[in-house]
Amino acid sequence: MELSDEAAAAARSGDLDALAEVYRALAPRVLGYLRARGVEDPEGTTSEVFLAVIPQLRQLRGGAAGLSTLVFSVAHARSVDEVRRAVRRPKVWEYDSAIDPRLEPSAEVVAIGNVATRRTLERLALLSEEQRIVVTLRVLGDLSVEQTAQILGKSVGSVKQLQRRGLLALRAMVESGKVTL
Amino acid sequence: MSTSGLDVLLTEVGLEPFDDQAMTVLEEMLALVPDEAPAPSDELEAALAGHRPSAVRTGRVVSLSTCAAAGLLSASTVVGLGGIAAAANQLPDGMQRAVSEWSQRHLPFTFPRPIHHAGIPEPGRPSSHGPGSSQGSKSSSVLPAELPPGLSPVPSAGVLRAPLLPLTAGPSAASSPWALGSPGASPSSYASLTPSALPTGPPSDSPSGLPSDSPSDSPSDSPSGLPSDSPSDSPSELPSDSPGNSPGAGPSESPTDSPAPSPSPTETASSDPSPSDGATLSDSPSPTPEASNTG
Repeated sequence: MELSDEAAAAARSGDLDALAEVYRALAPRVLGYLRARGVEDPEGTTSEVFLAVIPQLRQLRGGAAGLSTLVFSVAHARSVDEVRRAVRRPKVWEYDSAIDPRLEPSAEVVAIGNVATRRTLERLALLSEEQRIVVTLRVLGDLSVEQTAQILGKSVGSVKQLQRRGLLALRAMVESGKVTL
Repeated sequence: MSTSGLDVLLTEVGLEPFDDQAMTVLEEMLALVPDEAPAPSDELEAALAGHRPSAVRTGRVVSLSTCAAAGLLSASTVVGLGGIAAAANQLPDGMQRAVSEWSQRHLPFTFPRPIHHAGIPEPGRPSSHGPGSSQGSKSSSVLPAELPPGLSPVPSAGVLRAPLLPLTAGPSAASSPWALGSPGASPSSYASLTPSALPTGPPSDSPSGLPSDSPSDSPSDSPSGLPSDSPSDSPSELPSDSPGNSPGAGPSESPTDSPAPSPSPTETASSDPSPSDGATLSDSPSPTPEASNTG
């Protein structure tokens, strides 16, 4: 679902229907980005992102692209906070055989398509942090190089270099069969 | 991102478009994006329905707490600076007096009273309390510089009052400098004298025109210790308890100058059943010569 400039402008002026349309258009991509970043509760964090974005809509500039940049800027900041919090206070989980990666996936798991998701996460985990962020923002967030550079505070050339190395690394993983899940 | 978008991305990085392996990776990555938006939380659902999101409320609470902290800080600053100024007695008189009275009632320590209010005259300002002034009883403080060594100043809050002198005069009192009233004076006409206003002798002998202390104002005779406030009761004059020992005006002059022993406040004070209360005057009859012989 593409977000139009008209919907972004209407959401900026306080139109509730346009606001719901913005949520329907951007929330799936935000959720995918948060999943790829390994956020513990991606659905809840997605709601928090939009709760933080709504009060800032009046200062929005740039139409749909500006709104996407704003939403993913907040999402990226939340994911960074989540990672830092997890590093400071690592959580202790009780053992659950259903999520033990050493076990063979059940037919049910395979059937619902989690295999591809787990394989993707494993591949992304082999990238560097910056490559992973750039690739996910470009692919999952559907952001341009300029938008990605603005969110990360990097130059366009630096972002291009990071995405190139990241994609080449992912392709090499497929070729070498490094991730076999 | 659509398939055409993925092609553009691959072209940007120098890969062939429609590269199978790369396209496989990217398409599997796109599987992380759900087709539908996740269900919003209750708070976000309320915000999408037009209610104010909690982020705004949180910001307002933060601003209120910040304002409260700023107010508390400024109030404590004002109180601190005011306390310092009050301790240095640099507030305006009315404010200093109010702070002093409040501190006396509510605080374990006391801020000083304003300088003018404490009864300390300003330099070069003549004292308004004359010998016959009705305000003589209000004069209660002595400049600390005038205190003889070893004597501590009396707290300024209380009014020092000497043993009151009877204004009634008998035959012997007629020639006394204490004969201020008529014989029929009522006890209510008793005068209350401050130590500085106590007679020290005949008016002509007193340099300041004030009556000097009687011999009974010596510390040994006066249980209230009133003579300690009188400048004439300097330590050099303390041994003058015996009449005639002191050459100057003071307690020793009374027996020698006056033909009949004058009624001395000492006698009234010594016969006072409550000598500690200097403000009480006993209704003793006019003193006799025998009674004034304290030596």
